[in-house]
Amino acid sequence: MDQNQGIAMRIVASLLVLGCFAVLAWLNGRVVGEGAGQVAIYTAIGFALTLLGVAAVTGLNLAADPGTLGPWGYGAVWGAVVRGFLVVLPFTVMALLAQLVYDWPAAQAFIQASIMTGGAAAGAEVMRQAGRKTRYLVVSTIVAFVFSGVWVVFTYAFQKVAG
Amino acid sequence: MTDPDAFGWHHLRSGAAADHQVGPLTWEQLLGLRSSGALGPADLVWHPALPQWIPAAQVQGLFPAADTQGPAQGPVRTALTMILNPGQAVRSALEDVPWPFCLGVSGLAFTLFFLQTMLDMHRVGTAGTGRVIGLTFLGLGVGTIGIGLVAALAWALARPLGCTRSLEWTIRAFCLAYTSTLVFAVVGLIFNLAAGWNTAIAFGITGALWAFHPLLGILKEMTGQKLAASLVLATVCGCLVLSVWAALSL
Repeated sequence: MDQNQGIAMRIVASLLVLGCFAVLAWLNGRVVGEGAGQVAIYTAIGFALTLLGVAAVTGLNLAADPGTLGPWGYGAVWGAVVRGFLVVLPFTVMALLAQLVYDWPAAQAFIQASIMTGGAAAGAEVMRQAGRKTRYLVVSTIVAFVFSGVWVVFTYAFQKVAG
Repeated sequence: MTDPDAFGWHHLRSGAAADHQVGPLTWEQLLGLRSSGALGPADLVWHPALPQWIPAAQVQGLFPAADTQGPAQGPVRTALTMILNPGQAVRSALEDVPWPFCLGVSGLAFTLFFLQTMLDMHRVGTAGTGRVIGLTFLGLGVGTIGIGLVAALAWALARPLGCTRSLEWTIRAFCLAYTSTLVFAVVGLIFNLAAGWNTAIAFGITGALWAFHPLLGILKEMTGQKLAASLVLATVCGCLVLSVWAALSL
C-alpha cells in the first residue's frame, strides 16, 4: 500500500465512522427531540462529540506513549483508531433495522455499545500495530467509557433543555 | 513512498543479511506476507517496541491455529477471557472447553434475557403468565439451537474467505461470546425481581450488544484478520439475532 492509498483508506474509514455515528445520533434525535430542528441540532452535536471522542482516543494514546507512537505521528495513530471504531458499522445497520423496521426506539443502547466496543477495538488495533503494549487497550477503553458517559449526560441535558 | 499507517514492523528472512530486511510494514501487510507464504514462523520480525528480533511464530496472533495456539484454560476462565480479551480467548484451546458448557452459557443468557423481556411485558399487562413461561423456554432454544445455526451460517460464509477453523470450534466460540450477555442478564434479573424495574433494554439488549466485541474477534480470526469481511459477517449475524428476538417478543 503506497502513501496515497494509505491516506485514502484513512479518510474513507474516518468518513464511515463519523457518518455512522451521525446516523445513530439522527436516530436517537428522533426519539429525544421534537421536530426537524431539534433532531438536526442533536445530530450535529452528536457528530461533534464523536469527532472529539476519536480525537481524544488518538491524542491520549499518543500522550501515554510518545516514545513509541511519536515517530509515526497523529495521522497514523488516528488511522489505527478509526479502523478499530469501524465496529460501529454493524451497530448502525442493526439500529436502523430496529428503529425503522421494528419501530423499536433503542438507538441510545446502540450508541453506548458502539462507543464502548469501538474504544476497546481501537485500543486493540493500536496495540497490534504498535508493538503489543496493553496500555493502549487500557487508555482507549477508559477514554471510551468517559466518552460514553458524556453522551448519556448530553442526551439527558438535551431532553431537559428541549423540554 | 512509505505507507503512512506503517507502525514499524520489520521482517528479515531466515539466513538473509541485515540489509535485506523489509519494512516498515503495517500489521495487515505482515499478515499478508504470512498468508502468501513470504513470511514463515521461523523468519525474524522486529518492532521498535521489541528489544530484539524474534521469530515470527512468537508474535501473538500472527500465525493462527495450531502453531501458536495458547495453552488450555479452564472453561470458566476461557468464558471470562472472552469478555476481557477476546483476541486471547480465540487463540486458546477452545476445542477443550466442553460443548455442554458452551451451549449452557448462551442458552442461559438468552433464557434469562427472554424472561426479563416477558416480565417487563407482564408488568404492563401485555403478556400473560403462559406467554411468559413459553417465551422463556423459547429463549433457551434461541440461545442453543439459534446461536448454533447463526454460527454455522457464519462458518459457511467464511469458508470461501479461507476459514481454517472447524464448525465445532465456531459454534463453541459463538456460544462463549455471549458470556457478557449472561452476566448482564443475571444482574438485570436481580433488579427486575427485587426492584421491579423494566430491564429488557437496559440490561438485556445492552448485554447482547456487548457480545459483539468477542464476536468480531472470532470473525476476524475466521477470516484471517480481514476487517471488511468480518464486519459484513458481524452485521449479518447481528441482524439475524435481532430479527429473531424481535419476531418472537415484540
